[in-house]
Amino acid sequence: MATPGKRLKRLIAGQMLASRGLKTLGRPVAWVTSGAPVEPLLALGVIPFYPENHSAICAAKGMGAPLCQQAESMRYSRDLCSYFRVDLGSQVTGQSPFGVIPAPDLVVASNNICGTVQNWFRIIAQRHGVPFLFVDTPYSDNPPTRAEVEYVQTQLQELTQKVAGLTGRKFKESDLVRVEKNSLEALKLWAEILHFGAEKPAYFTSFDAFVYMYPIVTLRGTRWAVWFYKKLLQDIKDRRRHGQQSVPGERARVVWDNIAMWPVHKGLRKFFMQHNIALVTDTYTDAWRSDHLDPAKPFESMALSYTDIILNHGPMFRVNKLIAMVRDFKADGFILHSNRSCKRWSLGAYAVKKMVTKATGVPGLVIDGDMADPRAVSLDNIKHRLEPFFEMLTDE
Amino acid sequence: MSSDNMKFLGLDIGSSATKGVLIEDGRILKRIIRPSTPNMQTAAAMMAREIDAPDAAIITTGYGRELFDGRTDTVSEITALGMGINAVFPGVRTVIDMGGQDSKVALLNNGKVVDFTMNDRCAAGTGRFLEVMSRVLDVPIEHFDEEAKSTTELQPITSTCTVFAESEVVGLMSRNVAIPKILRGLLAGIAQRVAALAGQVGVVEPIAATGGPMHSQAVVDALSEALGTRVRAAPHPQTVTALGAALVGIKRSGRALPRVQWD
Repeated sequence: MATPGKRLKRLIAGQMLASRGLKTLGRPVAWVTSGAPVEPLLALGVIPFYPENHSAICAAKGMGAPLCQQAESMRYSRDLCSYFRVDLGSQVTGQSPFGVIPAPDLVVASNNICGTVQNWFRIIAQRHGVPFLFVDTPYSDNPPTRAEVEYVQTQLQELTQKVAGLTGRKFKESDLVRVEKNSLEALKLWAEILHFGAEKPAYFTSFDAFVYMYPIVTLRGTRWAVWFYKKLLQDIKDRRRHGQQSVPGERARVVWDNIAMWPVHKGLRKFFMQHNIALVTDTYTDAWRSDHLDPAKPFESMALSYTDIILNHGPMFRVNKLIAMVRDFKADGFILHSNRSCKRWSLGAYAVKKMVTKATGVPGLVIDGDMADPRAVSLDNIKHRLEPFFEMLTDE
Repeated sequence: MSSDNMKFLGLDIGSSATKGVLIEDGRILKRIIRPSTPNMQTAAAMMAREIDAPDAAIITTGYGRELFDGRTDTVSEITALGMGINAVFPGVRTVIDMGGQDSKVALLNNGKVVDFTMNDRCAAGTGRFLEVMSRVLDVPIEHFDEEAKSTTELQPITSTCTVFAESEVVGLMSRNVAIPKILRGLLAGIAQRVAALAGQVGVVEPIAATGGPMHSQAVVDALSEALGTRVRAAPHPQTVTALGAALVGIKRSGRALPRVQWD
């Protein structure tokens, strides 16, 4: 029986093969941000490609430094997002673990995850000479208001019409409803899977989630994602039945905030295992746990779903999220990754730490790093901080 | 548990110096500091030979803690520092340690570390900074106190980076700014950086300080000034973490922690 890891590899290979094949048959390709509304695109038969996830894989494969340097040699600052620099470096050099990537016919971005993507995806559109479509989602400390949802909803309807016009494909609401049902089914399966981290001992950890999140982002809205997560859920249930917990001899449980540190992902995972520490949940993969989608109100619910996400809210939202996670996942501590590349997510790390500790009574640790640029992450420095932190958690 | 004559050796294998404390039932039998040269591994082995306590359990800590093969166990410097300072100054709430390679601040509650922070990727708040400046000013660290005492004036040093601060100091010296003024400026600068680090965990009094630089009263005074409150330097400030490592060994062996005679 295939392991989830092997299934994921085959799924990605199949996805890329299908994307390239369909592109040659004339199907349009859209390069999209991880928070772009993908359902209308899928309903129109447009094939999405996600540069952010591609950058993450490049970084996990050790390609981060040369690709970043390529972008820097084009006078893009080292202070810019490393996903952007890796992506640009990959576009310019043609280097990718995926092989050939189908070129975009259009680009769709939304600022619900950050402001950087607005410029990044405009650069992609300019390089390829294709249209740039943008959805503006108001940033707020509070849940989206009625007016904000309507504002986004109008843009989503306009986006759908524009994409239909640009690609010459006909939009049918029934197709959108079908795609949203797929999205919702996969999102619910993902939420159920993540919840296995709440069990004590944990049967699923964030180190697993960081890897297996790929389909929920890039295949959201398809049956492929649903297939993958049904299988994964069954695997986890089987493991639990056989008592195979994620971290044998689990001694303490920790919550993670921010994007994974892809350049040191494996080393970090090993270090946690060596110390019998379970990374039970994280604010990163949790961002795809949203249950706002409602196929009965396809555009309105989509507007809410794509506006009410963690990165589109201020640090207080993060504080409350972390407090809830520490409690729900019975955590002994939490780690804030101060991510050089993701300013929006790292904002106010020390204040967030103090507030979460005050509310939960458990200690936190801020560690400096980066999601894709290995020159801004030192595994040794991180271990040097994690070790005393783990000793604190295990009552040294 | 009552006395069983078991000896515990704490070895703090640091980047600049290796420190060893041999303890038996609360009595300090040996307390030694040697340079970590030619390399940390050899330095640790030489020290273990010098201390010559073949029956002792050896608990290593510091950057080189994994390098010594003869160890019984290891512990992080933060945990060892917390344990050590609590034995030296029971009830202390904040401890600032200025090491050769990094500075650390730990917050304690009932003798346990509850929060900590360390400086990152920069030597500007560490003992190394003082070593570099000692060389540039041509003032041995042992003479810092008398030089600093010779003036009340202070020349602010604006560069936070060790390398840039060095060029700034060279520039000031070429303009004949008095060395004691520059030295006071350097000490104030380093103290402010460490105080800012301490702010990350939130300083709670009473405050203690450890590490080689605390041999200098001028450094301790600068820290007190930067924090706006009194900082007490631990006696034998460089060996408190090694003491803590030995105490961690005692605790992990299931024995009760002894009252330590440290002075």
